Amino acid sequence: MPIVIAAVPAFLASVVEFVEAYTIVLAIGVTRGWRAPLYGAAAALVVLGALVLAFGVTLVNVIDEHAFQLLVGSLLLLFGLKWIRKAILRYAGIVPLHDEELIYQREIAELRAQGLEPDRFDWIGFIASFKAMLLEGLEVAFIVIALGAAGGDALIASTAGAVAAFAVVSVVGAVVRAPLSRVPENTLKYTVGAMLCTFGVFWAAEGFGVEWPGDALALPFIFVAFVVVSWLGIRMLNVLVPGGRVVSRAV
Amino acid sequence: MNVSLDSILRGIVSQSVGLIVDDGFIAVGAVIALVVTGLLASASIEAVHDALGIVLFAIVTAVLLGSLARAGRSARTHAVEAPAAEAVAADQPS
Repeated sequence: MPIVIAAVPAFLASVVEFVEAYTIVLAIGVTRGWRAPLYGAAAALVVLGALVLAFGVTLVNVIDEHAFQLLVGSLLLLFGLKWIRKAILRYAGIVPLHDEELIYQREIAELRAQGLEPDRFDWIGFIASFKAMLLEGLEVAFIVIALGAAGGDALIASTAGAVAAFAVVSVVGAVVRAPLSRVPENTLKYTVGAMLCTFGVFWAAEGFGVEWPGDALALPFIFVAFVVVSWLGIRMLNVLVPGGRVVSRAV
Repeated sequence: MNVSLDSILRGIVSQSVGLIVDDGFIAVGAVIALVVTGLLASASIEAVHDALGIVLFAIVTAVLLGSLARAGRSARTHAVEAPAAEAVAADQPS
């Protein structure tokens, strides 16, 4: 499997999730000081790294090729369908776009209400930051494991993609010192969703013994087909709900 | 902001389940697509076997469009003029 196939989706998925985690860590740092939230985020990253190492290496070494393709294909298909569905619903205006600025302001207000004791380690800041980074990073960890489970350099490539995303978000965040609300989260989410669906269908079918015409050259065609189907989905939603109406959890 | 150990554990469990199941219809549909493809693969019909990838893709996209149609109908029925702030607050992090 070309290394880029593991690295690119892992990078894009990680950017989306780390931007969301960064917003919360930033809110904690601004209101309560930086030491505790940075320790919390670092502790969560250690846990996520251990998960990737443990499950990724196990998958590579234990499962045979066809079973692996079926398992990973199925998982990627489930992740991908979830991401692409939500992105399409956001494009159609049925689910609200993620507003980092609004989430940031809400977190600030909640954190200020918690109070702060000087001269003591800020456990509230530590745990809040740990929780945000761990929960946002959990999905990234699963995607990194699934993309990296092909063995060889794939796990290194997918991990490198996630680490690169973390570095980019951290550097940009340190420079900007504000919520990264200009990151096109929904476009990234949609692209990752379409890529995961593409790999999911490709590998699940290979797990059943199917040989695709042109082997990996079939991937771009499957991707384009998902884009076309998504476009049809958005058109259908525009007819069903003209102008889009935000209903959040009702869907 | 609730930051107890209990809330972290509940968050991890719900996030882990949410990794796979965001919309039950699409999760069940995807599993059915895989099962149907598997059954056709085990039937060893040469003509069908060559097209199994396309069959899987077709079922998956039908499931996706079906899920979107359900969401659209639900939105049309239950839509409320929620203020943007309230709507974002209700949106799950993902």
